[in-house]
Amino acid sequence: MRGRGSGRRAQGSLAEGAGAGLRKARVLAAVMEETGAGFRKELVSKLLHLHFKEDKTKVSGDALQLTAELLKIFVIEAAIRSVRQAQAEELGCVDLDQLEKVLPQLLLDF
Amino acid sequence: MMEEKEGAEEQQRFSYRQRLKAAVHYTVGCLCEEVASDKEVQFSKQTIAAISEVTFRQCENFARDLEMFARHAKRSTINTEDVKLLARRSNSLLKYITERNEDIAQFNLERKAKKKKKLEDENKNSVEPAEAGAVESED
Repeated sequence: MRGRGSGRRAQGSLAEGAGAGLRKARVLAAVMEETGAGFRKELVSKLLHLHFKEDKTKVSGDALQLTAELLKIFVIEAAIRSVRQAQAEELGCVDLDQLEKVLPQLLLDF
Repeated sequence: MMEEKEGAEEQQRFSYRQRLKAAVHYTVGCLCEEVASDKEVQFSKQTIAAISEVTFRQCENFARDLEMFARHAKRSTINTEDVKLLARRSNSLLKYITERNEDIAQFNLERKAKKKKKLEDENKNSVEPAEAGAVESED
């Protein structure tokens, strides 16, 4: 985090906000690892192959597992940032309004 | 006749796509439920559906990018380096994915080692009874 300061002042708060969110998501994901939900390799494979342009394109097993992790963190990020938005607005329920507010930065971070 | 066949294929593609979306929706629902109980909040159904929709669409971006990265490296098989490139836009995301990649590699390595050892042990056990008599007589 320290190295981020120089040359990125303008983006500082956004990047840090994203970074903080990712740190929390990382902790949560680590906790959820043992017992938590996730994307099955088979599903990830089908999702990717649905959009490939070439028939010959394949995906290695490790790459499938890593993509599953990436998708998992994507969902967790979307969820956690929406929760933080709801908490900031002092709401007990996370609704579309909260998700809409966090969506732009989420898509930029991915 | 051709049009009918095309229509049926179109219908099949559509239902296949819907099934995948449903599978994504299920996983997204599970993940949101875990976040919800951890943070002690609730997600509205529409929110979960929206996250699911966005995730499904994000997969399309990922797939296209991955295919291009591999092709750029003159490969037809996507590997973990390509996946790491997907995480390039955020430093903390890249760091997280790199760590997860090392965990996965380590886990798979240990699993292979265990399997190998298990096979070796099984081979030893199947041979031992025959040799046991010989060993005992040496003592």
